[in-house]
Amino acid sequence: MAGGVGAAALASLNTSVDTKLRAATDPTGLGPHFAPKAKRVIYLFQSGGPSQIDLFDYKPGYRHLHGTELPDSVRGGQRVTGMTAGQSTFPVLAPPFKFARHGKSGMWVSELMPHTAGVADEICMLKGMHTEAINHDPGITFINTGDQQPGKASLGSWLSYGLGSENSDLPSYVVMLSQGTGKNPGQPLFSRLWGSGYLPSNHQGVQMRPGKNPVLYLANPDGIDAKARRNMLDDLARLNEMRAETTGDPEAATRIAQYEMAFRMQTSVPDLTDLSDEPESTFELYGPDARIPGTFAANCLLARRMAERGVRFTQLFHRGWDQHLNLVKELRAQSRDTDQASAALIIDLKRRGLLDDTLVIWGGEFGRTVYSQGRLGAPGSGRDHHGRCFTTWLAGGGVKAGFEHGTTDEYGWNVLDGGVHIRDLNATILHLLGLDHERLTFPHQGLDQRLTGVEPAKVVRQILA
Amino acid sequence: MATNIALCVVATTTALAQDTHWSFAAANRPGIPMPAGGQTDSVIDAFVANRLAREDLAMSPAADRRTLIRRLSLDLTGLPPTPAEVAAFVADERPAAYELLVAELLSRPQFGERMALRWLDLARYADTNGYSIDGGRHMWAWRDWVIAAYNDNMPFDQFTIEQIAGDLLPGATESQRIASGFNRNHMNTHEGGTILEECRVAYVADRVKTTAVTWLGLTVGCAQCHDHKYDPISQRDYYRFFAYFNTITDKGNDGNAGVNSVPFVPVFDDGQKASLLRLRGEIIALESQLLAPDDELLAAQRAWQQAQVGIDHTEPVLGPWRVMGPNSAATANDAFAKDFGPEAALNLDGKDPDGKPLWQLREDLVDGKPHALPAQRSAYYLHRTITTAHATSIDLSLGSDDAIRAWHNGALVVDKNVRRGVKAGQELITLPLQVGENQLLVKIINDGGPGGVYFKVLRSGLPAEVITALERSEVDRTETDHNALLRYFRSTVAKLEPVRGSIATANAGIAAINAKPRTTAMVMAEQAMPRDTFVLVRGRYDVRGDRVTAGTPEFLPPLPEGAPQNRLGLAQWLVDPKHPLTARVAVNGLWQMLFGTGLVKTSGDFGTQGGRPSHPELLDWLATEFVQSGWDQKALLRRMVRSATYRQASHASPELLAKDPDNRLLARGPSFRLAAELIRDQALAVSGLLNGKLGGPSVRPYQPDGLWREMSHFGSTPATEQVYVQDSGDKLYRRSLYTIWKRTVPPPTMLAFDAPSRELCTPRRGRTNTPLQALVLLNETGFVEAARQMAQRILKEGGGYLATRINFGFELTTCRKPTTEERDVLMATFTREYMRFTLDREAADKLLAIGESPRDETLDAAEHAAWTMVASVLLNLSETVTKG
Repeated sequence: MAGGVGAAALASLNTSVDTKLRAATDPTGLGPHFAPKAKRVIYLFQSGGPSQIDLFDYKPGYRHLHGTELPDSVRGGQRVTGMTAGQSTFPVLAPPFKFARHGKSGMWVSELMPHTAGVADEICMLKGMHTEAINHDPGITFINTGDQQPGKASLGSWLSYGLGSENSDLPSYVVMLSQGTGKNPGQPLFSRLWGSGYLPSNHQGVQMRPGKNPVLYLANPDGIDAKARRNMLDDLARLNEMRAETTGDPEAATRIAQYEMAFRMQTSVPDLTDLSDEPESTFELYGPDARIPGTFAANCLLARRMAERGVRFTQLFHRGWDQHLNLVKELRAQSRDTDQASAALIIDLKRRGLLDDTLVIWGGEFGRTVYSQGRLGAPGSGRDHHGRCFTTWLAGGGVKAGFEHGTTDEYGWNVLDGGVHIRDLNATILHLLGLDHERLTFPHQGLDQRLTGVEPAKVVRQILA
Repeated sequence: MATNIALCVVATTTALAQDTHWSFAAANRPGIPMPAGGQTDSVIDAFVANRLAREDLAMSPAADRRTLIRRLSLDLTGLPPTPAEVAAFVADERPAAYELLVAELLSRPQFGERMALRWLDLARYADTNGYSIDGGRHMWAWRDWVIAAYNDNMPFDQFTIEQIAGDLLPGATESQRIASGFNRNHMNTHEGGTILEECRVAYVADRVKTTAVTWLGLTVGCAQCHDHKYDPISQRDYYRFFAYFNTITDKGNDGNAGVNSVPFVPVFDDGQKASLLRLRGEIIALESQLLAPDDELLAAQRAWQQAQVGIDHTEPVLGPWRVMGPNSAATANDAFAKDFGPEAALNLDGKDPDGKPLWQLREDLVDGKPHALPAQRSAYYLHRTITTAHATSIDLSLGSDDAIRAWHNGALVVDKNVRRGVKAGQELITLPLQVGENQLLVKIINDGGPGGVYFKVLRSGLPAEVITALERSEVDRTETDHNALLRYFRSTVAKLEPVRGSIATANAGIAAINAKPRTTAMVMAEQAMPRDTFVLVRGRYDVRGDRVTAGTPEFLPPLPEGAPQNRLGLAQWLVDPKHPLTARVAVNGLWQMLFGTGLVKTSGDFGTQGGRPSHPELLDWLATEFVQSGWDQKALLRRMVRSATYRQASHASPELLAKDPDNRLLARGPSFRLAAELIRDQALAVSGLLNGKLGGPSVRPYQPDGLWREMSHFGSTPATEQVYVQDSGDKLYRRSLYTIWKRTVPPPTMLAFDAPSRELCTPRRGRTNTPLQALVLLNETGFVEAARQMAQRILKEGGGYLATRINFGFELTTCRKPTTEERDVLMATFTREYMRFTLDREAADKLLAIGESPRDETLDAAEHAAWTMVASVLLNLSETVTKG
């Protein structure tokens, strides 16, 4: 009956039933394994590789290094992408933006992120993030699924599989996409980033989109209203029940339950996405973009509404952070698109008492080089991909607030201490949700697969509240 | 069943050495157990009954004929039977009615389409390249090859050899080369910044993984980084296997802009093939005309030869290249326009301010191949001399990345400010040479990214063999010399210009067809100089360990006697009758298709971590029988579907469900949710919309707006398939295996029903039930349209009464008549909806407007809409989406 019984992602009628169903079908690895710190996650994924140099990982010394050659001793033979491999010189480009210290901890934040600076005391900044990948496809696949090659299950699908749903009317894993005004179009996205890989496909993320059908095919066709649909589903259920009595097919009952959930979603999803009940103050907080469906700000607001409704894992993918060119212009635009709403989400969750058990994550698949791609100072120049260090911030659910972890060298090139591999970040996310990344497994291809793969991974205990 | 098989009781032991995993030892043909009743019609049933007896269970009675014909039709053609076919089969009193039905279904062309579904999952077939940009590719010629191979019942050994190594077969046909595309169906990237070798290694690893899962049922991927933890595959074994697939002429970053990645072959349609044949025939005839004996021409040739005596035919001599650069400028246009010195005054001895020579001797720049120039915005000058003893001319082929200018003795002869990658023949020029030394100066301007230059002499003076012949006296000339002179003279003489013109026209025709083949198909093709394969330390593409040669894993049998040490040998090894895995894995795959679960549940893993077979002797018997039958796939399927095991009713009692929830013991018939493609194809079939065209390019049925665009690189890449443009007309109603498959955004109606993304080889699909599936079947345009067209059929073909119409509709989707209670429910549905639509005509019109296909406007809208609701209920029945 592998996966035959409607399981977690969308199927659950309530948590206890859901857990039993999953226990019956997937006896391995189910959690929580211990008391969780967070019940849900909102992952504000910044696709393309935001520049940690220009946003968070600041050092006054950059000023003095500006224009000097990145020493080979620092570069350490690190491979560079095909885009700058032919450059004969790697001059340091100091961030062309102002920085100041913010909050009680004196956290450096760029002038591009004034609202984020305003919530510095809520943020846990990881400056020692690192990955082996240096190109988008392997990089974004790695951080989201634990492997550079396609085929593995995504973080959200693992959470759905491991924890099930807290809401019987909504998916447990929701994905929303947006495109920034910096680099447009940004690097492509792909359904494998929220796919279920080898896990049963009902754990894959459900994409929610602006418009009449927030979930694909949600709306009844013209000419069929809710009452007619209800009547029709009652007839359908009666027929399915009659047949099941003859055949003894257990799937008929499951299927009836799925149709019921589909019907409930036809109400619960529009209720979720209809912002008409939000007061004016909400839009002041999130900014005017929040009124425009499909923007990052609107998606942040929806993420808060999902958190209120118990959606386990909400993941935003925001495109456009790939500043090879036109760093100054593009980065300003990207930051403007995301800064206010990201900070607003934290403020909003906090005032509703949801921040304590909601983990918010802000970050991308890698960072950017301290050296200039293109001639130093040229208006069209930018920065190439950099995996050896980058910055991700967390807030809420079980992590230290107003805290920085990890430092990089004077060039912002190598991690000096507090290194957090993307596997470690994923292990930590699972830990905060009450899951042991070594016990959350699924047998596939002769191996007990896990999100963190076969290489060692560790929970970053230093940042746990 | 034609004959009863006399059965004998033989102790069935697997007789394996204790330390050998069951699947790694050759399958021995086991004895057939004697069932309790003493006789049975089929060997399959003997094994299954024997196993059931041990559990104190017995087979269920046979399913009724309506169930059987639906089960069979869906299994063998992927489509439900028509009401007429059901009626004919129910009424067929011939003893062999069932066998005849099986034979008829196996002979339909839809059989190949149905069988291809499973193979396309294994082969990770798609219409786009995958990875991030995911641009379009063209592999439908390979997909059509698969369909045809199944329909022709190509033996599985040949099916294997052509797909693994069709290109290496002696005198490989176009079809065999296309077949080798199996191992080019992997993803490939064209993301900027890609590290070529890293990606190329990933492609080879994918071929290894896919080949191993598909034919060996082995998961070898672990051994890419270290010796396999559970199965006896060492890392060295892995890279020896890897070596078979490592000498292809492919590249790490290729396939952009809708052009297949190399190597690929043109594929011509039948009309084009006929034209090519005709044109080639014409050319042969014209060429014989060109060389035909002709006294007048012979005399003229003699005179011309006479006139050549004493003329110096020595070819011009080219000096080595000298290079000056890089010369930087703010923009490429500046670099193009600015003279960095040599344009006005060439000084090969010039020095820079530090006293270093400006010009570097570059003997490595050999002619006739592209050379890379550093990736930066700059200009390079290249200079060489051309020396000739007599006045002549020279034809040159030049290429550049990006812009190019060239001067001959100071005069500008090429001036192209373009942005492009370097290729041969981008500039074709003829230079009249002065006696003595000529100066050629070339300037290449690169606008960032890799730069490059190409140079080749196409012709200088007379062809070498003509000069040789002329230098010999009449008596010393060989046959070759005479031919060379004849051909050369006839290629220049004015009288034959009309013939040469006709040849040129025919060649142009061939070139035109070659330039626009019907499609192309990626294939396997070996490098002229095969690259070495190394063990990659911890699987890292850039850390090489020991060099290895191609070979098969040591724990499996050696290559067959006389097999070549290449992919062809590997293919022959796979289908060696002694191979323990190939036949078992193939048989298991077909069993999985029919019964829902393989005899080995983990159909992609026959290793020590995989599942044990539920019926080991049956698996081995079928595997040996498959080989002995000449790898006959239709015969194997026929054997399976003719068994009583397959023909059982699928009803499950609570006791049986509790004892054997997954039906591994086979005490009942197979029953499970249909695959994604079958669900949609069935709706198209029962509504009468289905377009049965076989093969061809993929099509674009209904899909919600923006799904591709919101994730793709549209507007920023030359890659194709970044935005979805829906088809219209009958292309909307093709079978689902022809729906365009974009890997990063697979067709949503397929994905909802557990279709894989086709990024990787998938031996087994999941079978979930989700609310998203309900939403697809209830609301998706194509399914709503199918309900409307099905309603139209009900009204036109279902008789004049409510009851007969309901019976007709019900039978369309389930192949049976409804019970009275079921009919009552549907009558109530109709009556309620008819009332509603009568009161709300606008709602009826709206519902009936969904979908492109026209409706019969003579039908009453309220009635048609009400039947559309009934049809939608029928399309959504659990029974409809289930093989019962």
